[in-house]
Amino acid sequence: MTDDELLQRAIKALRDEELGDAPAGARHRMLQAAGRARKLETRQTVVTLALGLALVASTAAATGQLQRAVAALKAVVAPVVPAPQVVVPQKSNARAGHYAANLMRITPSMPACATPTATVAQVPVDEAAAVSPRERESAPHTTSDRHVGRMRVAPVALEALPELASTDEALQQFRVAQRLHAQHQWQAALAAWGKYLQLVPSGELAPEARWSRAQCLVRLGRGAAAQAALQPFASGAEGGYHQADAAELLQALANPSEPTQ
Amino acid sequence: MWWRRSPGPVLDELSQRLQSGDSVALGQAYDLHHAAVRAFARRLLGDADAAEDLVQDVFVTLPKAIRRFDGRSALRTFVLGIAVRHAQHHQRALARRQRAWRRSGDVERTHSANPEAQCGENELAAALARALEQLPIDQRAAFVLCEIEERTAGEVATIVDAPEATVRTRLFHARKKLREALEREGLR
Repeated sequence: MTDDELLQRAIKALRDEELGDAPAGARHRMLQAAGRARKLETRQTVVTLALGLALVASTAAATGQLQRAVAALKAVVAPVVPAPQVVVPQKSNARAGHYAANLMRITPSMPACATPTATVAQVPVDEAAAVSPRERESAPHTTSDRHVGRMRVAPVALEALPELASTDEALQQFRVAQRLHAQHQWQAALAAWGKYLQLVPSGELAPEARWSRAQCLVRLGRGAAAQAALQPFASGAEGGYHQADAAELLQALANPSEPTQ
Repeated sequence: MWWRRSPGPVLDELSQRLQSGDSVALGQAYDLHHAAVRAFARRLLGDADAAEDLVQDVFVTLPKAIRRFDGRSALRTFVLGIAVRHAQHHQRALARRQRAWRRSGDVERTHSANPEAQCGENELAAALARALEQLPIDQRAAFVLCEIEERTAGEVATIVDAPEATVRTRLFHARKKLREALEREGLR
């Protein structure tokens, strides 16, 4: 018998060898061990995550970045704060143009539409400079006005601003503008929205800020500026969900004598 | 190009349930494949207890290992691949233990060959098992899978996660060494 034949015989013998059955309870032991392994893995994951979080938090606290990190986390986690809507009585979808009509009702009379001189992206650095002296005198001096006044003191050139301002500062500015808007302090709100847009010209909330700013301009009776601000919304270039309202407002601004329906 | 590749095969239901951590599916996978894994482990390690430990290890780690299973091979092939990797660990541990026994003066298992004797099939199988133990684990796995379990070289390549040519080379060397070992034992 050659070596190869011997090997083939040995292979066949090993193949045919009786291997025996599984020991009793092997399946049960395996399932128990698998369950323990799964629990251990879950525990390890939780502990690792907790340790990682603790490490990040302690590092942030040690470097004085904790509040900023928390604010950034809130900005990411929290739902987008909707821009304040002007409370318009009886606003209904049933009557087209009702929104514009109501908005115009409390708007001072304004001259006929002029050609827009600036796009909304080019926010005036100092909104107060565009306000007539009469408006400035008639406006009551409230705490909010003083706050806005401080912002007027040191206008900053757009070019000098960083592209992205720190999130917490921008959010704070957004809230200030929101509050002033809700209090119908149109002049102060206008300045505050302008300030926010200087900080975050292309942020997530920038379209809402521009829309609110345009509303302020309408309320203040600054027709030309309002039309320029509303134009991108009416054309659908920005904030498509305001397109219909913007178109109605533009129509109302163009024909102030005709009641909008 | 990777973006032109066709999507991978769809996983079967059992694999999907295993990937979702279903413990009942683990029991079913054990019922389907434990015999194949046990037989392979017995032939590969040559020791019933070590083989039983290996089977346990394979199925305990299956829920974690199955996450990287893409369904391109059969589940049994994938499970045997886990067994090969665990066997390598077992083998290293066994080698350490054997070195410790030698140092402590334990007598190694010896075999008294009878050169002129016509051996029976059982003796022949035992001789081959002893010879297999002397092979490196990679060659041993290739030999057991190809020759004893009669799997194709392509399937074995998938199981041991090596190119098919490598598997053939390992098989060639294994056969050569085994022939020499049987000859040394004087079996006819």
